[in-house]
Amino acid sequence: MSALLEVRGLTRRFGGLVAVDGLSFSLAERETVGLLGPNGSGKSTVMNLVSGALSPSAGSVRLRGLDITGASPDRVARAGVGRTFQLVRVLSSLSVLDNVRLALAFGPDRLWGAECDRRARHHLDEVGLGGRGGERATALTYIDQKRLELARALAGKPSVLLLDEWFAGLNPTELALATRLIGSLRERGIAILLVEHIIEAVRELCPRCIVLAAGRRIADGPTDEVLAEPEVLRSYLGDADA
Amino acid sequence: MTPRARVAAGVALAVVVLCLLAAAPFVLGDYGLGLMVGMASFAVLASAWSLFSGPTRYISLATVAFFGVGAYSVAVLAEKIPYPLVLLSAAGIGLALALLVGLATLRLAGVYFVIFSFGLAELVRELVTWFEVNVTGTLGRYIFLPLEARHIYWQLLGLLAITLAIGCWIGRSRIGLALRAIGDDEMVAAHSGIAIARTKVALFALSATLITLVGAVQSPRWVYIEPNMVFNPTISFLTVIMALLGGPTRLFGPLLGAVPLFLLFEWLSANFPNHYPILLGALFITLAFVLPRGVLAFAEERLAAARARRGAAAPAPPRPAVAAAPAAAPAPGVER
Repeated sequence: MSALLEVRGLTRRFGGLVAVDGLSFSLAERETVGLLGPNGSGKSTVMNLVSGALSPSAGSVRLRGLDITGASPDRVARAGVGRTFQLVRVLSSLSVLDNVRLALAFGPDRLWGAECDRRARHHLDEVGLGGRGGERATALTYIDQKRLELARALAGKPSVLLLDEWFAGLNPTELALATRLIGSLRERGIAILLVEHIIEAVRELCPRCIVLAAGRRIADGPTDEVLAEPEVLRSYLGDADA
Repeated sequence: MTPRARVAAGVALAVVVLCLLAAAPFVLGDYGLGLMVGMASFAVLASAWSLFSGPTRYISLATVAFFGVGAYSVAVLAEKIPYPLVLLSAAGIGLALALLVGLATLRLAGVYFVIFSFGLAELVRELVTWFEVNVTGTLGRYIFLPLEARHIYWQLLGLLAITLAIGCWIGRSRIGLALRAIGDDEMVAAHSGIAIARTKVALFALSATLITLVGAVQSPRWVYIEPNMVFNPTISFLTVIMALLGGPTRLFGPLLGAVPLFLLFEWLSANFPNHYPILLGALFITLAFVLPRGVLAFAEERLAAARARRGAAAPAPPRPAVAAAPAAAPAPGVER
């Protein structure tokens, strides 16, 4: 498989703290990869570095060979990297439909007018928010706001989607629905980097996982094997004799 | 009515209203026309200010910096080049200053931007004062242009029409959507593909250029100007409070705030010249408490509440309160 997203030696320092330390990995077309690690291990920083919210101190990020290292978030988004946020972020003064129209209007196709509206409705249908375009985004329930965030990310026509704890806070029924929804994106050719603490979702969706501890990659491989590695268990649970 | 027919009807109505307003100098006396000039001036200032600050919620107190630069550009250039070129030059100077300031400051947000914009206005005033005292050796300047009050009024009316037309266009374009997204959450806006810095600087510059033109057009009315007059910070405060009273996220909101407040200020300053600043301060505080989101939003909320009550009295199909007031935008609070 050819690499769609290629991350090499990615490093980010905040003063004396090295949040991400020489991280390298690649993501192939249609691949869904879990990015795991205890709190503070640098997962969200990786998401911010890849999506352009932060500039790396060193290293490179390439998307289909195009160097997007340190590019502004809007350029990265237009190049094909979509994202959701750890704490759900919908645009509060906009309607549900406008939240999605925005990403279409400034996405790679720069749609506007009737076609923009049609596509926005299509993306809302896709995530199960059909017919709710006229409501205010903040009037939606928590899970529906997450769906809206996903619709907005999909509207940007991403080839790589970064999902930051998208499953957090969902009840078991919602979790099953959400897992199906994310699983269906693979068929559309979208590669996903999934930061997640909910292991069932990771097992179900990600054949491969990368585990971080203190900003460094400590494992990368098939999910079942990675989750059984002693170093991974130690990073999550601490040493038995500690 | 189809959307196209609605637009045509709106344009026709706007043209009729504009023609009626343009006829005002033929029926009003000097005092009435003077009032109309002041009202038109603040209507443009508040509307132009809201083009940028309304949707993005960046509260700018730099209005008077651009207004004063416009007035001084005319004072310096009036006798050197033809009047249309004077206006064009003033617009160019305002634009250049706005781009410079925009590029330097738009990384600032919230209260830091407010303070910077206020500081900028004071800095420009002090610089102009220093230059006049130390280089030209005089503090004030005379502007002798063969322009009567009605000419100034017509120019301001034209500027108002242009400002509202731009506001209408922005509201319907993708830029309008981008600005509202920036006002809500810059990070989400950026990750949706919006070039944040470029959009903000462009709109700030557009708004500032219009404000500069107001100062330029109005200056011949004073004949004599000096820095303390045309860089008076009260102009910035009045602009903000007028826009906030009407509702800076609506096309006609700032206009709706500017007209009654201007008349009120005129009446207060004429009848209570010594207590005017105290009354002004009290009024600002009251408005912030009673109508934090502007008159239009307040009216819409009341209407929605009345509709909801009627719906509850008669067994009509139930509508959730939030869905009944979809247009109510959050407060453009000064904390941003």
